[in-house]
Amino acid sequence: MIQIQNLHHRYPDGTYALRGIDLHVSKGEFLLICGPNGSGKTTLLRMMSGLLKPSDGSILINGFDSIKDSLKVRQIVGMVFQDPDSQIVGETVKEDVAFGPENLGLSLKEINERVDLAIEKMGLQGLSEKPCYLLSGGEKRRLAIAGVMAMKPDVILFDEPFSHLDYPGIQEALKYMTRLHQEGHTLIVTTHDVEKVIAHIDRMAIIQKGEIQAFGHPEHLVKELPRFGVRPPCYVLLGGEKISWLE
Amino acid sequence: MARIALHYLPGNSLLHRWDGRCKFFGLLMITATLIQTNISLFIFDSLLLVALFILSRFPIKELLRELKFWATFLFILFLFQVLFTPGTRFISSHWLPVTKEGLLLGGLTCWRLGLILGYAVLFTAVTRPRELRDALIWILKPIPFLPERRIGLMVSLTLRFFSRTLDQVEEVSLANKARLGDRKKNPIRKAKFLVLPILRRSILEAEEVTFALAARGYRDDLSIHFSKIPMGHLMPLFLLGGVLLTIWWIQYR
Repeated sequence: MIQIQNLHHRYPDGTYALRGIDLHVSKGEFLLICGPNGSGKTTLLRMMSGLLKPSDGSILINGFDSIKDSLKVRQIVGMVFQDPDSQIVGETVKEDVAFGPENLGLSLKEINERVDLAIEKMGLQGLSEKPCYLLSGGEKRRLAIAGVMAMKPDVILFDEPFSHLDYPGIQEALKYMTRLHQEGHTLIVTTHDVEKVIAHIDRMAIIQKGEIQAFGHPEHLVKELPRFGVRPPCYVLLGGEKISWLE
Repeated sequence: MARIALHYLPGNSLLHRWDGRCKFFGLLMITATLIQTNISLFIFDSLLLVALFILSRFPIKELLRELKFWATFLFILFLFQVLFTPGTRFISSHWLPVTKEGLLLGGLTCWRLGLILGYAVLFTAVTRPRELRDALIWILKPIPFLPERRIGLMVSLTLRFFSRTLDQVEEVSLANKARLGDRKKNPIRKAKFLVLPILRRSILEAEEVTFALAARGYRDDLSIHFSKIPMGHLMPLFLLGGVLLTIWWIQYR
């Protein structure tokens, strides 16, 4: 589904953001990309969604090149930004969710159906006419996910989805993410806080200084996390069973 | 950091180390030459700008990639001047609605604006906002009844906000693009979904900064100690002033 080969990226000031990334993500997979701040997680996600052009290397999504077929890639891949305020552009909840489907050139009927479904799925029914700037942090995050879901992408990228959220907010976001995974979406989540999502992922990649340092099943990698500047989950530190934040 | 234009870029070049007050006066001198229509001064300013960019070790190639928007803006401005300035048309191509005066005026306007932009980028790249604030306070201090600290802070914050707003434009544009916002060509719709969110964020951020300043006990009645400007830092200023005056004198004698 997603094939990344020898990906490099350099910022205008000369800093290397990514160095030789190779990654393969299968359809329906739930992948966690973790690493410390400034390790290149956000840059990698933005390249996967066809928003940034790599300095070198390639990304294929369902066979489409992320640069040459950027438009097609952006239809397949939806991205939830780290700061929901960057993403929310509508005046009201409903208007914001409709922004993506309108850009797809759908009929009004189809747009309304998609908007209603996304609003319902994200539990925003009572808020559809509410001004976006009056929403709470958790509601804004749900709205950002709804805006992406309304475009019906196959792949959804989440950039630090738990930042600035309280406990119920994290649970809500996680609940919707696991539901999307169960529905067959391919999910890729970046975070430095693996605790919250570790119980639900299929595989994980550890990124540091723009390089993939380790890739595989979470059980095999969790003990390695401190070596790469990432705090391991509590169950590893204290010993015991894996615990979901939804329980 | 994705954008470098109008951001401070840390470095150890001669320009970075040059006293902020001297940099500010140097910029004022250059600005004074840009409000004239003296071609010799324009040529000197352009050569000096290139030399200073090299001296500051600024990543010029990366900057050029970022200036697409400004280049488009300048080109549109040029077209307007060329097409709508009355004057003498070219004999060889009389059918073209282009005048000699329009071509000259358009060229000069774009050259001037390009130089202003170039010097603004260079100045912000080698001057910390704090240096600029201190330079302003130092300059305004002798003038009675002026709240120099407040003015200095406001100017440095404005500069910071301008740069932050450009960053926000980039971030919101990317988020728009991720939801295929670039597919719709309607400029009013585009403006609505870009300008309104940015405006709202900017206002909220300004409010946050006000609270943050208050929370950290900002006072504008404290005195600041300024060190004496070393002679070595003043020399380039004298040199620049001398060269500009010489060019001006040769042109108008």
